[in-house]
Amino acid sequence: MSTSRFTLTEERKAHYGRFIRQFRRNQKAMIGLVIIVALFFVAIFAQKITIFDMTIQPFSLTPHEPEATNIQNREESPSLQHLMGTDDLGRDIFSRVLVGARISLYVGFTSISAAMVMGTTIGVVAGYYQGLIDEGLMRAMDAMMSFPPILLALTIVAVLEPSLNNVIIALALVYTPFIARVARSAALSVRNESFVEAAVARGESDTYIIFREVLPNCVGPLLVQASINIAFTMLLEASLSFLGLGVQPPTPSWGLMINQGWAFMGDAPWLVFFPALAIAIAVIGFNLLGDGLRDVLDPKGEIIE
Amino acid sequence: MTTTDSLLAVDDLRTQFRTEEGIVTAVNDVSFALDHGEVMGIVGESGAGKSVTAKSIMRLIRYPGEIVSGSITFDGQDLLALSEKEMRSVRGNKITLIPQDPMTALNPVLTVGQQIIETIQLHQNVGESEAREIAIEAMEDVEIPDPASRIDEYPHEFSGGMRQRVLIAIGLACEPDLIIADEPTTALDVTTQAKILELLNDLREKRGVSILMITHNLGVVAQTCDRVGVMYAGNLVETGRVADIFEQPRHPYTRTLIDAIPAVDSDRNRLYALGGSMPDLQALPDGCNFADRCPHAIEACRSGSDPALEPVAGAPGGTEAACIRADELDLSEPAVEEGVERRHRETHTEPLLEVNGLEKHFSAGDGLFGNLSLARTDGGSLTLERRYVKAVDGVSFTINRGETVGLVGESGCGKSTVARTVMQLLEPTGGEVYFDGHPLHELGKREIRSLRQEMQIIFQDPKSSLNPRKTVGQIIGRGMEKHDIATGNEKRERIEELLERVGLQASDIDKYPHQFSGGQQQRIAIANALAVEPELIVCDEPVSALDVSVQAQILNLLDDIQDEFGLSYLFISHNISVVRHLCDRVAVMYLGKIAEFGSVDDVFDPPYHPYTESLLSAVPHADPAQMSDRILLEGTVPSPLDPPSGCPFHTRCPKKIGDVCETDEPLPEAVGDESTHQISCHLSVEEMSEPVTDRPVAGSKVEES
Repeated sequence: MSTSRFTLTEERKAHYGRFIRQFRRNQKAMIGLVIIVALFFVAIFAQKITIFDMTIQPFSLTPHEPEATNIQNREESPSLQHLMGTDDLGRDIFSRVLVGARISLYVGFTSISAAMVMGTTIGVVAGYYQGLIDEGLMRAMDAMMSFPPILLALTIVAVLEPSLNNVIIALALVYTPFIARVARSAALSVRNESFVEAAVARGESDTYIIFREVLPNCVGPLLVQASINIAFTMLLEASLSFLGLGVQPPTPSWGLMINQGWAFMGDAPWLVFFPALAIAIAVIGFNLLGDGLRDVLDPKGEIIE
Repeated sequence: MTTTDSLLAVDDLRTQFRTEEGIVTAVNDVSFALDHGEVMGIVGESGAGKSVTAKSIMRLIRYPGEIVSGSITFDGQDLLALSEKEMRSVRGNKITLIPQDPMTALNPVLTVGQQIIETIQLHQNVGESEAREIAIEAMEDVEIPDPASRIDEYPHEFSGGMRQRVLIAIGLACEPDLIIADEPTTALDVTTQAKILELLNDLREKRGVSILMITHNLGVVAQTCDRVGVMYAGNLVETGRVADIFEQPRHPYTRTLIDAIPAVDSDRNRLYALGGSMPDLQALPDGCNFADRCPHAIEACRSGSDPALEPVAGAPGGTEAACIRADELDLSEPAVEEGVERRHRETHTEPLLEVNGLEKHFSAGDGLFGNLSLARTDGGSLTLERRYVKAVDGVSFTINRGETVGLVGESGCGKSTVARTVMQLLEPTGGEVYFDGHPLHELGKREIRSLRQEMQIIFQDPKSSLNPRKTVGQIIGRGMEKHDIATGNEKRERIEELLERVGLQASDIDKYPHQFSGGQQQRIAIANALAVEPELIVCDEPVSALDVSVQAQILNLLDDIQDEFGLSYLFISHNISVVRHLCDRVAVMYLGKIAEFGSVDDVFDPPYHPYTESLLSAVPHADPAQMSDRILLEGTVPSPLDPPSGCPFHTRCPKKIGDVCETDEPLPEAVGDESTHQISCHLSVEEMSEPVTDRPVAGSKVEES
């Protein structure tokens, strides 16, 4: 038994070794990873780096408080003092974008992760079993998709009582059907491959076949779907916050900033531009990472140096 | 070599594809000529450049492909010099293409009439009604029954063979000078193939049209062509008259191609299997491309450039070969592997698998209510009834230990369903399956799971049967772990041993399936099946997706490991030659039922059951001297949704004796003293042995055998 454990870990090691090698050689994945890691870094240390008031010499250590209002300085265009300008209440947008990363990434990442787990399971199970199970699960998903996302999320949060965590639960539920549909269609085609039948012939349990044989072959489209949907969750979070059901002002999140800045688009476009840019960067980061991961996980895409 | 009177002359044609890895020369300086009214075959394995040659002639090569050099002269015209617009008036008009897969080549939303008329109006200045008449005439020519009414039907209302006829009708409608048929019968059943080949032969005689037949099947070439060109790795390696080439090939590759085919009437001699595979077109070796696999290669073959096609001294006129040793080699005799004994058929008596009255019915349609349909019962009242596809309807056979039982029949006859039901991959609707004494039909899921170790299956498509996300070691090792056969280092050693046993390398263990060729993938699948040390392996068309030389390798491998591992096989195939080559006993299936079951000799030599007889006669012989009298079956296989009453074969049977065939279902009856040979037919053995005649059907005397 001890030898078997040993070689198993050796096998695993070889497996992960290959994964890391392939990941390093994949430019897309690496760029995506760098962007995402940088954003998470910003999110974690936001309070410590909101110090860039270039006008105070030498580089003052007095940070702009992201929640501190200053009506005299409202709607100032970007300057050395306020790198991204100030908003309608005179708050420093740069600091708010940095701190906003926290909420936006937290909400986006956790809700999509939860949606991935639920949606993938539902979709792969439906696609594998087909028949009545498929009909039942997918019709339930259709029912959920027939509501406009905002309305469904609103209802769920309203029922659960408003809080950030409940927003995440609501978002996860809203995006589960989208993931489930992609997972199901991928599973449907994989299900017909002979290796699934071979696994049954080998005596494997359904659970093993679904999660070890079918699922790994569905990963590609799922990662792409998830990396796109993460942007929608960030925006939906904003809508919910705007309606008073998510993050409460003055706590900043990117979506909320866009939503509130919308009214000042004509006079002060930077109110919307910078948080939108932040979302775009995050989405590009997740997309690159998702795309790259798909290639890395597919043995056919092997890059040999 | 271009003669002025030839219809088509291809000179030094070179077609290349740009890929990420570099330039691939798919057709490498190919030259040949086709006379008026001549049928020429181009044979070769996949990747040899046959189809690209055909497409180049029609100028259908698209980016990233490109015709780089050479000339194609058709009817005095240089096709490569034509503008795209001028070329369009040649395509479909002077030169037409019959595509490979009739199922996808017709547009499903247009009637077949519209599709034929479209072609006619494109090239001929005729009105709608006149074009329609021409179309009906063309359909008549390709022997589609009742063309005047069928012209308005949609493609899905036609069977595969009929669709292929429609495609030929489209090809013929503008009275072309040249038809390029790209594997026209590969997607069809053997009985349908026989009819299509017959049709092409007739058309050629009647109309004097030239045909360029692209195929991988030497049997098709032998039965239809005047001349043949053999392609290998983008080169034409031999051309000549069909009779001459089969008599005495001048290129070693041609010899191996011929030897690799199991002959339909031969005993189970070991096949000559060509080792290795076609070289990578981007990294062609020095010297002759074939040298690495050639049994006659000498030093001189491996240097210099690839030999050019040259006339062979002492060979009949028109024979050319691209081999530096062509003049000295005598290849008229099949190559026999030395030291390999012919395997003797043994009698096996201890039953391993017994199948009794197995049934599998599928619900016709999706979902809960999909299979409901309105039916008018005899009384005239409308009733709702559930409809079932009776894929397997009362099948019985046994497999003894160490024995190979073949299951042969056309597509849709239920062969694969039998395999899956026997393996309990599908739950049987009825009947009994005993495996090694265990009643599988009574056992629960868990008990069956533990028995799975004893039964393994090998699939048709090796690419699909290996999980692309797992390494070879993970795939093969999983079964060993699952059934506690080996773990850890022992497991790895065993996998390596197995890989070597099936002709791969131990170092292949950490590779992924996509890094192997089709034949190698099938070897992995075999190793995977062997890994759990099974008693029975079900082989579901294991060589159908493979090239002929690779097919021979796999068949030999299956043969070799049988005794070594004490295996029994249930071997499913539509290819009678292969079944006859490998199997001890054989069951012939038709429409979910077994028509005949017995030892290979009893069933095929001579054939008794009318269906067996017609199946056997439909196989194209890879020997032009042996023109078989084909028994062409009428119509198509009836739908298993609504099978004929009585004998399922009565609708097509050339020996139908009368009402009894339509009303009574014949039961399997033992023939003579041997209880091992069973035939389901109302005819007596003597009657079955008589040649097919036009016997009066209606009102004839009913005889029971």
